[in-house]
Amino acid sequence: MPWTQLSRAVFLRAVLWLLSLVVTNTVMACTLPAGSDINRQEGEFLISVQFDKQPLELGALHSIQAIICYASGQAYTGEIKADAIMPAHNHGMNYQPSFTMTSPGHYTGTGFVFHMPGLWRLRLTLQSDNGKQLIEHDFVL
Amino acid sequence: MRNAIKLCITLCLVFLPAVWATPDNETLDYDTHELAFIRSLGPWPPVSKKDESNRFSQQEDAIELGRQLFFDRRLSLNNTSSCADCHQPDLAFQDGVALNTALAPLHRNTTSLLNLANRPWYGWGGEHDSLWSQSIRPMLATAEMHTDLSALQKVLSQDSFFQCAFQQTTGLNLADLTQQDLLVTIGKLLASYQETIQSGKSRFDLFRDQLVDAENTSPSQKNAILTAEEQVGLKIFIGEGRCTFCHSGAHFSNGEFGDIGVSFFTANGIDKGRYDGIKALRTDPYSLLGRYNDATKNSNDAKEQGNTETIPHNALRTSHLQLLHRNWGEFKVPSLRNVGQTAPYMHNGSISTLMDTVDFYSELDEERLHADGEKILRPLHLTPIEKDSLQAFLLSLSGPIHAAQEKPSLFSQCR
Amino acid sequence: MKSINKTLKSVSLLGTLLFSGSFLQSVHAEALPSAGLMPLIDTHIHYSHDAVYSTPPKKAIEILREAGLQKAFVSSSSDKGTQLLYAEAPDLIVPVLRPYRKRGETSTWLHDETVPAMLEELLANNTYAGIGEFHVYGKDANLPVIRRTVELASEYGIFLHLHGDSDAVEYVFEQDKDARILWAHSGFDNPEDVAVMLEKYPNLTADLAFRTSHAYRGKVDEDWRKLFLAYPDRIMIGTDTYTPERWYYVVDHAEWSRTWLADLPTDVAEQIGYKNAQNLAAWALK
Ligand code: HEC
Ligand code: HEC
Repeated sequence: MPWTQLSRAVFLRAVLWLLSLVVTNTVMACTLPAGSDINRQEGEFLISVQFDKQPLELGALHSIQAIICYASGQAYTGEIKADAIMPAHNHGMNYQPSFTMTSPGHYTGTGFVFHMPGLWRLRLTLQSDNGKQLIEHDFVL
Repeated sequence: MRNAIKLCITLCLVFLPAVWATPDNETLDYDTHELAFIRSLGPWPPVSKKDESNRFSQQEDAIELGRQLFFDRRLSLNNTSSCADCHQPDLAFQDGVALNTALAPLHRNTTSLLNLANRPWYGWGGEHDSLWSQSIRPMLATAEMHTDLSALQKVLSQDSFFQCAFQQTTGLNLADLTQQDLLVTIGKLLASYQETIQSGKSRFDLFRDQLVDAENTSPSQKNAILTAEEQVGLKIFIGEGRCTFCHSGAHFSNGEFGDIGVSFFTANGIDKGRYDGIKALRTDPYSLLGRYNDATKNSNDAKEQGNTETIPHNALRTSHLQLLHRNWGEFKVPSLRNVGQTAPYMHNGSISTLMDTVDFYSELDEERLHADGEKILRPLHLTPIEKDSLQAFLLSLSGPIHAAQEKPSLFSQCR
Repeated sequence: MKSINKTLKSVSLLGTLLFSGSFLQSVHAEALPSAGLMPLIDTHIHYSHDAVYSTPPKKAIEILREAGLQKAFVSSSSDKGTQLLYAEAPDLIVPVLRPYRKRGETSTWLHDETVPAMLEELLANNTYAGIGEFHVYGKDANLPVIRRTVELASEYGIFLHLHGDSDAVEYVFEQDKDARILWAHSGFDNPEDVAVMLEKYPNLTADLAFRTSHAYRGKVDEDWRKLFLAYPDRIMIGTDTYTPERWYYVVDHAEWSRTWLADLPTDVAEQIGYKNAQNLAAWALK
């Protein structure tokens, strides 16, 4: 292979590599939108959670959008476990919610039905190398 | 404290006849908490919404054909009964007996069919997630209609008027259908009619509207639509009685299930209620997760995501159900609209009068409930006057019942 | 509406697969227990006065056998129910002494000073593997009635079936470090907290009665799996027949238990399913 061609190939590859770095970094850079229903730092995580509508409707199926970043700015891409309980009555929902990651750090969860008026506690569990992180959010229906 | 309130209520009521005598009812005082609860019990009627799982929902000719089927005894084995024989229009679409004995003794009370559009679960155990799949159930139940499907298909195909009306409404040829498709289509037509069975504004709704209006404009304290007695009952209902924990929202039901301590032994075994309901849903070919859900076909969104095996959005509630130990012996929280007209009560018809249901809650057997933490249900030990008030309030929940009427002109070219 | 559509987009394939999997399982679960099924020991059964009335001993034993149980730990308010069943099927019933004379003494019994005498008399005259299931929370575990109950269990070399929080468990172990406790419902604690207790107290065992969080559609939850694998010899299953109707749940519950036990390594499933309970009964009834 002549030198010029080789160096062009190397150069092209380097450009591609640089480009890919930029691209992955913009995808991975994780930032939270302002003004969601939950917006806070918990341990090593930054969390934003938005219900599909407010006020929440008793007995109706609700979904939530969650954005979860490490404080370092990286997106969380692990599993989310979720449930909601009524601490006063020691019972939870009749449904088992599920989460799907739509893009790095961005999750949609559904299967939430809050069937009684009163204080509910939403509980999300994240799993990182440092162990489990529980995020609790109380709200009144 | 409770006793003091009770005494006060008692005294108030003793002096109430004076109030009742005049046409003007006072509006009692409600704190913001109570007002929020009252507001949450409406508005009524709910906004009408098409059932996406049923492509015939809200279609005029489907409603009429469904109405005809509802009254048609040919749907049952040997023409024994139509839907309307158990769900009688002049009895709020139920039958007035504790347990019906159609082809064999039943172990569940016939429910009234009011306001069934767009509810999450049907049947006392929530065995079905759509009105149309619930409507198939009596045809398959050997103790109820025990329909001979091939005979039915033959009879209906030979009825040239029906065959024509069916073709006009569904675009399908009766004789060509598989038995499953026939069942599902009949179920969906029946459902379209049943969606029109509704109760209008009750006196409670008018009262609520009045209160909500008064909150928005200048309060007028006079001429409340509910009597003071009914309002005392309302206060028990949303307060001490905690009835709105389950009988909540405009339907007076959260759509879910509960165990309030009604026995669930049957004549020869046990009615597992919600537990079997969930199991049935998970295996039911006619559930919203199956191929007959008309919403499935419209959901192109999933394909865009490259996700072909997706669950239609109207089936998400079904797909996320979990089976819990407490589901065993739970029954659907019934709507209390027009409850004054739907005796006898409870899933097994074991309580004959409305006053007896009030007594039931007043003297509840707490030991039957596996409550952990702060109790939702506990015996209320109501005084006779409080009981009367609660009953009076429940009676104020009745509104005029209406349903689609006969429209023969729709199928004029089939005659 | 819009958001529902969004939800639709993201329902995972995994969810669908899980669902169709459980579809098969629930069909399978309908099958009657047959000879090939794993035996189970149900450690949380009550046969109270009203259950005796609605489901007579012969029928009750029939139900336990239908569920494919090798043994059943039975405690009743009053104890008469337990004795009736024990007389009917001594091979099947492991009698446990409930300190309640009738249902509904869960919060009053520990203040009732006539309870110890009743226990003493019954213990002297009958065979029991344990005392319980009784309810006690927090510092109440130091009340005289409980103290005497703990002493009696030690005298007879039998276990305590305790329904309460971890504090109550700790107070009892303070009174008697050699006590054996079967912790009802695993204290309704989460698996991490149960693990802490099991680690701290080697004589503590736990039942899973009335709990569902450890299994969803036949699959064992990962946190619970860790607990089960870390303490395979300390956990047992149970139904909790707290109303007469619930007797009939024993069969469904056994079927349900077998489905999630099948998701564990066979040896662990056998330990949790029956061997741990077998050992506890053997120790108490030596
Ligand atoms: C023999 C009497 C009988 C007949 C005939 C009958 N039903 Fe019913 N219906 C019942 C009983 C009993 C229930 C309660 C069943 C349950 O919960 O499992 C019920 C429940 C229902 C429900 C559920 C309502 C709710 O609130 O969840 C619907 C809908 C219904 N029937 C529609 C129909 C239709 C449509 C037909 C005719 C195809 C029909 N029924 C025929 C007795 C009958
Ligand atoms: C924990 C939930 C819950 C609470 C709280 C509750 N109910 Fe109910 N209610 C139910 C359930 C579930 C049924 C059906 C039970 C059955 O059939 O076994 C029912 C049935 C009824 C019925 C019979 C309706 C029919 O059509 O058969 C009436 C009337 C009623 N409740 C009134 C009340 C009143 C009044 C209160 C408050 C004092 C109340 N309920 C509190 C859950 C609840």
